Amino acid sequence: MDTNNAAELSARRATVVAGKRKIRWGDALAPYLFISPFILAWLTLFIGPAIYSLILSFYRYKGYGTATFLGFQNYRSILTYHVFWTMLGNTIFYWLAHVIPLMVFAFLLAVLVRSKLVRWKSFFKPVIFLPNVIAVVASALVFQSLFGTQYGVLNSLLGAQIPWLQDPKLTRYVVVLLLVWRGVGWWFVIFLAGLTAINTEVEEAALVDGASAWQQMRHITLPLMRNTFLFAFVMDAISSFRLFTEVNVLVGTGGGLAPVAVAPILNLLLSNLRGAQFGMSAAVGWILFVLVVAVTYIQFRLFQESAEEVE
Amino acid sequence: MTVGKMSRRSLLKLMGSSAVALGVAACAAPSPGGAPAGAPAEAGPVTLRLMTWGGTDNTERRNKAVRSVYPELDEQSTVEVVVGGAGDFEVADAVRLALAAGTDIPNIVQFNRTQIAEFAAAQELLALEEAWGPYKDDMYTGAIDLCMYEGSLVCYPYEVKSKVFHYRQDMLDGMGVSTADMKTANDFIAIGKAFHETYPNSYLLNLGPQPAQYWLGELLSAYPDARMADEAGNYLVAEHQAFADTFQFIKDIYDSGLATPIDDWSSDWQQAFADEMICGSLIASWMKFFLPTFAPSQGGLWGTSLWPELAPLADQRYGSEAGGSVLVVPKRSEHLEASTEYLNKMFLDKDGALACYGATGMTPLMESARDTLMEAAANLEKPAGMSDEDWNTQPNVFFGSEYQGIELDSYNYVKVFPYDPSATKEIDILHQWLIKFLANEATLVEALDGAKADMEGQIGNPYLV
Repeated sequence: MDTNNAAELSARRATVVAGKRKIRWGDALAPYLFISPFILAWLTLFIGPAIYSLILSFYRYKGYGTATFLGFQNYRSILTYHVFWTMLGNTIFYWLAHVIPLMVFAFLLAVLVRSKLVRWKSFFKPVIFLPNVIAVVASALVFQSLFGTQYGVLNSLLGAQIPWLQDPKLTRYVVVLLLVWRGVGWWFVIFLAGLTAINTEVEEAALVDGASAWQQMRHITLPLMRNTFLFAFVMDAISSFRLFTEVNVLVGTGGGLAPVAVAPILNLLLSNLRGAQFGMSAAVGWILFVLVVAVTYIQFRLFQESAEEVE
Repeated sequence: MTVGKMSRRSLLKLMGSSAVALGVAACAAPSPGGAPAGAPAEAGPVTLRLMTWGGTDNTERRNKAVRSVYPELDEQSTVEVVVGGAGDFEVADAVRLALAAGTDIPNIVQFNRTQIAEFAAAQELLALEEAWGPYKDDMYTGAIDLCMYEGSLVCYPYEVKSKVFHYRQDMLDGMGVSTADMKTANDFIAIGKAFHETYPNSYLLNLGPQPAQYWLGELLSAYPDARMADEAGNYLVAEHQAFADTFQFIKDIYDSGLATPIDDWSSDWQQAFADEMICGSLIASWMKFFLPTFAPSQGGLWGTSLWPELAPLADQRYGSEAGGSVLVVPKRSEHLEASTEYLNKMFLDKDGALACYGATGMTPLMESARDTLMEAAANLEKPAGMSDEDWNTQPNVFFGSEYQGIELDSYNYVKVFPYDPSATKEIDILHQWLIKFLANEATLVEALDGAKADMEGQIGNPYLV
């Protein structure tokens, strides 16, 4: 092979490599270009406002005009405000008091509807889901009529005048009942989907091996539903910390917010917005965010630990 | 080349050129007013965006009514009524957003009076001294007071919430007492208790454990020099007698047993009026729109008067429940002249206001309309096409012909509490402590001290918002 041929071969190789490099760049770039509309929307509509609200939480700002830097004063004011702790306590109460009955009830209904004991499955599925279809405001208004002191349906039946919606201790339980009633249909559907995804061969094998219904539930169904439960508990916790409409429609009078004694923490965010204290409102939002992250992390850890124990 | 055979390079080129095209299109988007940027001003009537809350029906009826009297308004402007949200707070948020953006600022905005201080203090409202000029002397003092902020007129009066006491005249007559016997707070409580003893299933008032916030505004506004904070931003709620008097009077009513423990706007409230359980209402003039629908079968049985004086409190005939509802013209909006011209005709001009009264029942707030209103109240005629049911809920039909005079008189007793820019939050805090005080979770001193401490901690200087 002479020198000229060697140079030509080298040049051809260089061209091929450059072409491949070009194709590799294109390959690498294409997926990003395809997802770029979402990324752009996410950065603009989610991350941008989130960063903006974080910055805002260190300022006194009424939504227009000039903003005054306050450092951590907004956070200090909120964390030393007794109303914040009352509302946080209410929110945690609503979450903890409703989550267990809600999940147990929804799961049992799902098991029941999936079992051979129940006929007319196609009738029960939409009926159980129905409360979730009704608007939150409408549901709360119905509960208002049910639990009125003077003319409420329940008090009329009981022949009593129990102040369900006026005594904060009782009102909290009415809210819990509303949350369970509204939520059960949604989680019923989720659990039913989870149960349907369990391989029937595993259950049949257990049956052949002589496992009782309880043993099947304990050793097959529940472990295989762990991820569904994790999803349900995490999502329900997040929505519980964002609780707002149910309580305020139920006991907020004249378009106002619910009294502090029963109010969820989101009321503090809204009352600051109404008072044109956007910085304070943003600070409440970020405290809420930290709380939700902490609660979610704890739930992940608890589920992880229980999975390790089983294994 | 078909799409199915498009190469990756072509696809990337297409996406790139589409992105550029979109960018160019975005840059060339029309200005908020609708016309392309730099286009000459459009000829003919301008469009005024009027922002309100709840619904558009009432405002649109007023708009039609005023234009029927002043058709020349059609040559100047048309009005597009937009809903800023379900309540006045959402409207305030929408306006804040518009002011922050500097675009799409509504030409006219309806607010509650408590929200005015924030925008007026920020110099965002058009001064209306000149617009009011020819009309001011004719307006009720209450209407003028409603529209004032720090000595300047900055609003138009939509509705003045004057203090009117509604009560079952027939039942008080049955006891042989009248509102003239309720001079003092103790008289009022004693008569209220006697009322319940005489009519065991009935109460003179309702007052639940979560009283409406307007109780505070009504009672506090009667005090000549009461305010939440002085000009230096020091809160006065624990020191000024008005706050102690107000809390104590509400507690006295609550504890005395003269009021049934039903909260306003609760699911029980309306039915309790219909069932004659609640036989009085110490609220504001707007109850004239609600009572006839709450208790339609009780037409002609209700009486009205100014509030009792209720000594030793400040003379409670004076004051107002949160002032009322107003309309403003944001200084940075467009078509300022067309906006003021339109609002002048609607709210300050007698003929325009009377036309609106015919369409919506909202009382004109000028003295010169008094005779017309009194004459109309004395010679009521059911309009053709109106059902008996609707007719019987008209305030002058339900309460009787004397009602109109009492309502108009009440406008001269209106005094608006000097709300500062942080009024919304201050009232929230005060209200929280009132509820605690009523529930015996705090003494009077603890409640007022607590309210003051919370205001200091959560608001700071209210004028710096």
